[in-house]
Amino acid sequence: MSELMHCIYASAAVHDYTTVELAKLLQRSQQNNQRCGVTGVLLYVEGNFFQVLEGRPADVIHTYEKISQDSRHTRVTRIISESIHRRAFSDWSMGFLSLSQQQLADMLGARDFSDRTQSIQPIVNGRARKLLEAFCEGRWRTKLPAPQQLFKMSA
Amino acid sequence: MTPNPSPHHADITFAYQPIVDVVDRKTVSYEALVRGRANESAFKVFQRVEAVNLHSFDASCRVAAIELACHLGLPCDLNLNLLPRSLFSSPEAILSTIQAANLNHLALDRITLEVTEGEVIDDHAHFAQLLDEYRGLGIKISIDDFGAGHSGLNLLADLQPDQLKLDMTLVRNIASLGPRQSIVRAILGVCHDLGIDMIAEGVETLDEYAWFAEHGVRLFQGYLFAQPGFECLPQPSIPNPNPLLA
Repeated sequence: MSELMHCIYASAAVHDYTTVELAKLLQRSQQNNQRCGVTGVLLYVEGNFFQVLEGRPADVIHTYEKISQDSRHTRVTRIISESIHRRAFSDWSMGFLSLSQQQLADMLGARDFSDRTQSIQPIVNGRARKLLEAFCEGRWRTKLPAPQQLFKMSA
Repeated sequence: MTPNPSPHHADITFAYQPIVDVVDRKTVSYEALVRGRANESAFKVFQRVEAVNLHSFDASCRVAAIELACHLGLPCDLNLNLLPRSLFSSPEAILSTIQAANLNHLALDRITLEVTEGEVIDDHAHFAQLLDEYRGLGIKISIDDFGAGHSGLNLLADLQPDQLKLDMTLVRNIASLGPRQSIVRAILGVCHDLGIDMIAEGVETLDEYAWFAEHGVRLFQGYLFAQPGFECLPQPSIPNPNPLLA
């Protein structure tokens, strides 16, 4: 068995998270991950989560199993689970990005999206980065913005 | 008695064809294509190999391709072909490749192993598991001639490669053929969702190139950019896909 793996999944929040709730969620996740050496990134966009977990296989699998049973989110979809040569987020016990529609637009407007979002700068080229970009472009999101928001966006 | 692997290592050499990134306008890799000493085709070279020696021959090709590419001053990645069944025949199949890379100071994350879709064994999950071990070492995996075999998209359910090289039959005249466009759009969607790079291979005309470029494909290989260079690493020419955007 390889020494490192990553597991990448997307899910939908059961309700819209407030900033305070997200901060709490992140803090707990960072504490847990630091203990077992799992690194990665967690994205939240309009009710949709996207997370990269990387570390030793036993730790990643255990963490993913715990996460997938958490009742605060639903439609947990495993996208990729495979061996990796090195970590893409070695310095982050769990990086976090909560993006508004505007931030997202800014990010996608930049040709190389690492340009404008400081926290994404260190991500090496590879599958984790490609999937992160795909999620930012709207892939793997199952929760659509409320009709009201859609209306505002198109106005 | 050990059968003498024939043709011998000394009877073969390589041509290298660039894979280009048309956005960054640079060669990202060279695919090593086996040739006879007098530039005979890969087909002819393989005709001379006895079935019993096929896998050891396949392994020795990768070793020789690495040696020559490094000798030529390879500045980028290297794509090497792999007979999928070699993985089951013996661990030597890949160990010799890894050893050659180490001896020639070629980092393993600069190697991509190309596996032809039609040759992939039926047990996808087992095959994926074997390849995953090499992924852990940094070696990238590519599915060659995608769309030509019988497994098709089904293969991607168990195996998510780093790269997918579209079969030439899907590329040819794509700009004017609806069914091909529709199939390729679907494959592109899967690639996008799973973080797989698509390479349009065998691209020969500006129309084919323009269609793929308009659909966000940035990696190309084909005569339009460069022919395989016999015992050399040819520089590609990268035309502008759309003069209107210039």
